[in-house]
Amino acid sequence: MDERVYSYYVPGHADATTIEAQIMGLHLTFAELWGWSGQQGFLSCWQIGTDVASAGATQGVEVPFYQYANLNSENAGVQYLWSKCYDFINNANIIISTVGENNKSAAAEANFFRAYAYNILVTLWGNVPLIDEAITAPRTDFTREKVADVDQLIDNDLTYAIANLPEVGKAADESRINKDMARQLAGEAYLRMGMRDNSYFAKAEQVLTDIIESKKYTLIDERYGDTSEAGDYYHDMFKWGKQRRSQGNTEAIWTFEMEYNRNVNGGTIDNPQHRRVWQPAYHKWDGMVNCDSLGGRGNGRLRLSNFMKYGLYEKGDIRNSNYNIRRYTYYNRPNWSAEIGIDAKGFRVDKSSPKAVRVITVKTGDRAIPYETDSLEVWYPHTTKWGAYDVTDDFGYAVVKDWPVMRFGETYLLRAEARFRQDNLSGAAEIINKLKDRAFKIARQQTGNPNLGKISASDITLDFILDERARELIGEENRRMTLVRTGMLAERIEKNGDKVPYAPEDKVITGFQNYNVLLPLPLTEIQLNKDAVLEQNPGY
Amino acid sequence: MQPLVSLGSYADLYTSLSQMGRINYSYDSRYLFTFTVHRDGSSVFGVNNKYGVFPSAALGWNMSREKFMEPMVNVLNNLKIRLSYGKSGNEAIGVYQSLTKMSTSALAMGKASHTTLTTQSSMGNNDLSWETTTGFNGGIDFGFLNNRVNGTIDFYKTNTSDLLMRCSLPQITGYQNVWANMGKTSNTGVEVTVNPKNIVTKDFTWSMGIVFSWNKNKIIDLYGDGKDDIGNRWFIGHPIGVIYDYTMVGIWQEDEIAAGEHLNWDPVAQAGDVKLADISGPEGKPDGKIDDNDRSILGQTSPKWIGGLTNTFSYKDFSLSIFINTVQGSMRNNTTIGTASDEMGRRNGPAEIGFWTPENKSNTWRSLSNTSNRHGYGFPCDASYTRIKDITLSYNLPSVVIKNIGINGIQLYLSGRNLYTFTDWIGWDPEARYDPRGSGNWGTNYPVVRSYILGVNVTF
Repeated sequence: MDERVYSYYVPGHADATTIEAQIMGLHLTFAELWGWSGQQGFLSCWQIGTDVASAGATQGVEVPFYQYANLNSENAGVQYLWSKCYDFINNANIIISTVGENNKSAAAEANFFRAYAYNILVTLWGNVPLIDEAITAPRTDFTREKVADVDQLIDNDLTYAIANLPEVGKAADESRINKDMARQLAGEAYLRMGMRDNSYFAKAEQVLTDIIESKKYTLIDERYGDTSEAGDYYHDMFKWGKQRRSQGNTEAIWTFEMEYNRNVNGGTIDNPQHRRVWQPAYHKWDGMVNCDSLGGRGNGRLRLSNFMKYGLYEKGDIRNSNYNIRRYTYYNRPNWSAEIGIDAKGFRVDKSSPKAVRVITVKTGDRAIPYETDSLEVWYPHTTKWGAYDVTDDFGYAVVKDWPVMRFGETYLLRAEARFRQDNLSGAAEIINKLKDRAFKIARQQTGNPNLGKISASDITLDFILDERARELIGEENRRMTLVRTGMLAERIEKNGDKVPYAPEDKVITGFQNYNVLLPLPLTEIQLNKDAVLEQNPGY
Repeated sequence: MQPLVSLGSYADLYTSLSQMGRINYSYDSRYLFTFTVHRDGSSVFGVNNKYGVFPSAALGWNMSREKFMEPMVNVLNNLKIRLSYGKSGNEAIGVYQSLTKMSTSALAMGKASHTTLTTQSSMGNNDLSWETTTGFNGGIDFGFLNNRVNGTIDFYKTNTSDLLMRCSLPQITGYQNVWANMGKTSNTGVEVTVNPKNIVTKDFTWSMGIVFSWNKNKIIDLYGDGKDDIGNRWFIGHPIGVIYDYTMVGIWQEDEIAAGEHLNWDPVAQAGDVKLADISGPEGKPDGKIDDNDRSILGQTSPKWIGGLTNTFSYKDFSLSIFINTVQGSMRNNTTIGTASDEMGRRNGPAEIGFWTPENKSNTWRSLSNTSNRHGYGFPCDASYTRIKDITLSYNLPSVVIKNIGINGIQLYLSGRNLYTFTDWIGWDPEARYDPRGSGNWGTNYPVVRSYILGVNVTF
């Protein structure tokens, strides 16, 4: 009567091949989390409703994240992130309890993912149920544990991970977890823990310094790889084919790899929506076709906020060049021309519209002129970091390119934040200036001013550091988590800059209350946990 | 570039083992008695609980064979009373459901494909065992006027315990559900079959077949503590499948929003949104917002009763049969209406589904905005229907004609199926599956179709 399983695996086997596959399963879960297309607006949830981004052509799941009055415990985005985090935790727990002390690097990689998941949970939800061992019998009696206790597990996990993970270049693959990835995650987590217990700020600085002192990473400040296409050195880091360390990107710490499914089985998991979220829907202009240099087809689900677009970057900052924040383009449909009207403000109107002050002919190669309402979803300044175009798939439901999860530029920003928290303002300025050196390198040569963009200790405030994070990491960082962990969400929302009547009423941030800093616990979790009470976060 | 080749294979093991004993006794074909017991084991159950024991007993009384019934034999030619009581076990699940399994998949790294293993969404359960139904059935078989009218009436009452249910777990466990034995349900019902031959003459007969069944299903207990399981939508005293949803009372109009009527009712509503009743709040009184407290049990997903009527007319070699069936009392979420706001911009939909606009101030249909149903109302509708299911006209060629050709029989027939359905359901059909785009088997949604068949049956 005993069941013998022929075509499935069951947990409990500690042989190296099975454990290796389970570790890969953790990476797969990461791909499934951020590549989810079941709710196409999921990625927007972590960007809109903050200072850097506003809603564009919303899909639906992200709407309560900027119309905060609608944010409730039945939101599908909240539910998905919560359940994926506990997927990480369960699978990591199984690996850790199966291998014990016999496979430290496997346990370390599992610890990394467990810490990664718990860090998301405590940042966004506060007190959460803490499970550190594989569950063998069904349970419905979970209770929320204090953040300090969960943080202790995160700290222990990352300490173990840093001690037992391989050095960069020595892991089985370059995107397998190595010491520096664990260090960077620890740096970010310790900065959050420092808000509660400031002894963590020094710990944060220590792990980040360890990454820098290893001298394995340098900021990119020269073009590299295939430079046949026009661009600049900052943009090179985000071209697929040049994103990995092995492809010349000396700044990459964790690059999550993707391939075309037709080339490698398992190359793309689900349908990552990054390009459709971050890039505008310029294909709606009849003079445009989707193409590689414009990064393919976008849906304009979110757009950069006024704060991000106007006044944040100084003149000469390469991160704001047209290759990196694309503000204008040219009609590229071959053999195309049209007669259009131009209104008093310089926007396009129908040639027969009463608002037209003149009528001109535009053709292929001319600078594109948008309609006034286009800035909502059809054309607006956008980050090019998620551009990718597959000639065999013009529609491109999935974006197939690597994900820049962690890079050296952020290491500097985190270390500057750690120094700021320890009142070492000049130390913080010294590090930020390294980013400025990279950002203004060409502008300094062109203007002959070697101090262009340099800052001093008196410039360092938390707002400045958050501004610099936006300048450097827009499109890469989870902005919501950054603002929540620094306790700045409420304040920074005020900087967003999108206001009625310049933006439509249903696209501006409304209804934010202080309790919205934490997300609601999913309703189904509270209802299904019938043998104990999971208290909902206040306000929901 | 090498072409990708995908290979797969699958094997599983299922074993079962049973022992059975039976005693049969009959006296004069009037009194009948049967006793059966069996012990069944199945590998699909948990390590702790593979076997179950199931006894049952049945009595029969052929009343029409009694001496005192002889005078009535021309009127009542058959009357048999049956009683039975017993336990049966239900296996109901596939292999390996009591184990925690892991799924393999693939992930690219270093431009090569790597195998991944992750736990499946179902947790293992070492105690998983047989679902047991204990039931009583009483029935009467009857025949009047030399079986001119015959039929059966059955009444049953069964209690099922240790149901094999997929019980949802909090995602905190890392799993979505677990197979477990839980709860108690009861089913009470009546089933009637009557076959009268209304007219029987040399050339023409008219006979009917009437079937009717009524069933009442109820959850008696779930976890032993008398509490409902809202997360799974299981409520004590109600059927297993219920519709638990908001109550829709209209559509928010612009003047109502402008007057602020929604502020103490559904503050996030906008004009054109579904208007839901604010039934309750944490204190049991309307609380000025729409949330889970405003959901209530609106109906059941299984029919309350089902009936069928077949009329068969035959005249010489012609025969006409008409079959009508009816299903009453069930409710279903109407996904055609529920997805209308997103679908109507992409494909055709039923013309009856309208939409609100500032000019067309509908109180039935919501606006086409993708936030007009922000609380996720499921649009449950009455799924009852009566259907002219089948009409068949057939003609048997007279044997005189065909015997010479060496054929035993030729029958020509024309039949129509699903000819007409009387229902309030909006959409394809109350029985058609309509999975929303992107979920389930939406690529193979298909309506119930009316069909006409012309055919020939030849017997050699």
